[in-house]
Amino acid sequence: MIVLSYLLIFIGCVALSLSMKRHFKQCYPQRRMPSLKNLFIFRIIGFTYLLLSTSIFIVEQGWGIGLVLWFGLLTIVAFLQSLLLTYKPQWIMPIGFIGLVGAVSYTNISL
Amino acid sequence: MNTNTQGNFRQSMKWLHTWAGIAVAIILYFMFVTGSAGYFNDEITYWMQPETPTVNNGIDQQSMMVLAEKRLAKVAPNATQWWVNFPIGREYALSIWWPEKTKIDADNDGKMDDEWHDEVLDLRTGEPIAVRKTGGGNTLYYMHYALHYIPSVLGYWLTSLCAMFMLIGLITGIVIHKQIFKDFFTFRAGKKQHSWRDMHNVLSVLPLPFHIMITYSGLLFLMFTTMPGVLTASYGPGEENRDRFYDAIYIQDAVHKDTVGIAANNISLSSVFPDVEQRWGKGQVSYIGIENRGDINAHIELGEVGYDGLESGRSLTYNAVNGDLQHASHGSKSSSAAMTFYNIMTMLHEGSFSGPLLRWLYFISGLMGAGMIATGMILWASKRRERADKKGFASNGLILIERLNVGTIVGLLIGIATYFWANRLLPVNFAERENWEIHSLFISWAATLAYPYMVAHKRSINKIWVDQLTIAAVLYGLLPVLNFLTTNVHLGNTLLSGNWVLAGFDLTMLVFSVCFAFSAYRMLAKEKKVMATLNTSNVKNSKMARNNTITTDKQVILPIEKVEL
Repeated sequence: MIVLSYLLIFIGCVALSLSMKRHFKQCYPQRRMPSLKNLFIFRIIGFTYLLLSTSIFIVEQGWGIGLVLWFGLLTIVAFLQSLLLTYKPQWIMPIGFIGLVGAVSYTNISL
Repeated sequence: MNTNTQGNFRQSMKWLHTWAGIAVAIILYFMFVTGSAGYFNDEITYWMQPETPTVNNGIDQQSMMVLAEKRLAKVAPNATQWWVNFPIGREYALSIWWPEKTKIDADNDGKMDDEWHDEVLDLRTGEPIAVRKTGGGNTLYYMHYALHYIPSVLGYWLTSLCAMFMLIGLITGIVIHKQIFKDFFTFRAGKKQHSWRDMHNVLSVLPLPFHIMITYSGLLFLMFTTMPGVLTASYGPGEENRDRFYDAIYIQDAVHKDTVGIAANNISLSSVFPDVEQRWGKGQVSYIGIENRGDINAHIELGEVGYDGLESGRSLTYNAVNGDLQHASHGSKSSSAAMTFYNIMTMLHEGSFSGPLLRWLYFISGLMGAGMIATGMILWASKRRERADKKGFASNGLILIERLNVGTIVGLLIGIATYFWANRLLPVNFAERENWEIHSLFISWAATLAYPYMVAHKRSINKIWVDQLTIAAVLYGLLPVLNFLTTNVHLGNTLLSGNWVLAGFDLTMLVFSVCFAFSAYRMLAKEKKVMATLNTSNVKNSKMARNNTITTDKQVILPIEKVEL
């Protein structure tokens, strides 16, 4: 379950950074900036994934430890994300995609 | 310098943030680094006592208990208490300890006092094993709130004061940060002081919940020392009243009775195991002890191992005369909401409930805290260095801080590496070895602090960074090699036998080494670039070159240097 939550946090971070103009440009330097409405959709997707991972932790580990774990993981994932955006922005979408596939298949296996 | 406190609110907060931070940065950095190491205190101690037996497969707790009891009966037949720790959870050895009445203080009316003894036992034979004396991880952990070489109460005061500054730094930092969410992932590399500010922001904002929790709960930890006035106001002054307060907040179990002086035969400690294992399952006992041994009021207490929830594990208390269960406690209990809050905050600080994953997250967050302080210090210097380069001279204060930064940020880490080296190199039988381990930490740290000043006229600040980062990389990188040469618990054995705690220590040291080596390499590349541009600009601008060598009484004019990594 930790793996799944980790993936969800990562996907959430990718979506959130895509919702910001500066980081969208880093990921897609060639592409035209999406409209504000579309950026906002990315933001909603990002927060949804973060909420999803929080709820998994809380259901699995209880409020106390669940939240502590979630904050700890979010810290590290977001830190990695900020380094990726700076040094290897072209990796983000592939990693995010692999993460998404991983999360979906993990859910299928465990269900 | 900038003393404008009358500007707008954000400006004054900025001033407060800068100076509250820089004033106590060294101690805060020390607290973050040693405190982070403290999350692995037991694991570090385990590594620092390589004689600790590593095999415990298939030996059940009851038979360990029989061995431990046999040994205790031999070495401490008259002790009033016996305690045994099992190698489970984060304990890595079967250890016993007991108090012995000794006259410790001639002035104190020859009063008898308890002196505690302890032994580590072989799991198969129950014979004591000579483990080397070491400060271990606990000394690092203890230093992060009591410091060292000063009375502990003074240490508590100093660390509390610094934590207060840290809290001010956090709050003002949030106020002056214009776009916390917009800049959440923002790190722009290669932009001098802006890169340092970005990294400072990232290291502060991402672990912000951790930073706030750790600072606030750290203050709570020491509040009985730093705010005795609150206590005195409601309970009155003096030690007696303080005891009254402690009695009121910590529930005294009715089962923990005092001795009555009537001798009685006690049951053996191992005899309660069948009942315990029925309640908790096999192999779940973390410690067992008997108090008031030989008295009719003797009782046996056991604690359960476990990380579940923000409360301590369960415990059982048995009557040691007839073996009846007297009390079964379900986790921590507290008398009030305030006490519950206090318990939760302090447990969050210690992470005492954490399994391996969460412990690593704590450790990394702690290191990010150290990074936050370090980048703050470098940012302070790099901002002023840029200004100084434009003007063509640097103030003494700037030069002082620049040099202090290297000796603090890398130097402390070199000191800790030396601590581990000393553990392996000092003779095992050397009586003072515990103390000299710590001395070597501080001696090497002092040397790294002094080094930038000693070579100041020969080496640029960038080169000093390269020097110290290289030393750190070598010291950490060779630790597993030293471990291989001096002990049996080197990577070759620990990886094969799957001892991930000891292997993890060596591997972590290697990771640190790679990080230092990489930083040194990057710094060297930077220095070469700076030197190249300096040489060309010297040819173009001879006036500037001449300026660089002029020295006046008050202001030293240095060659143009860049402090950024």
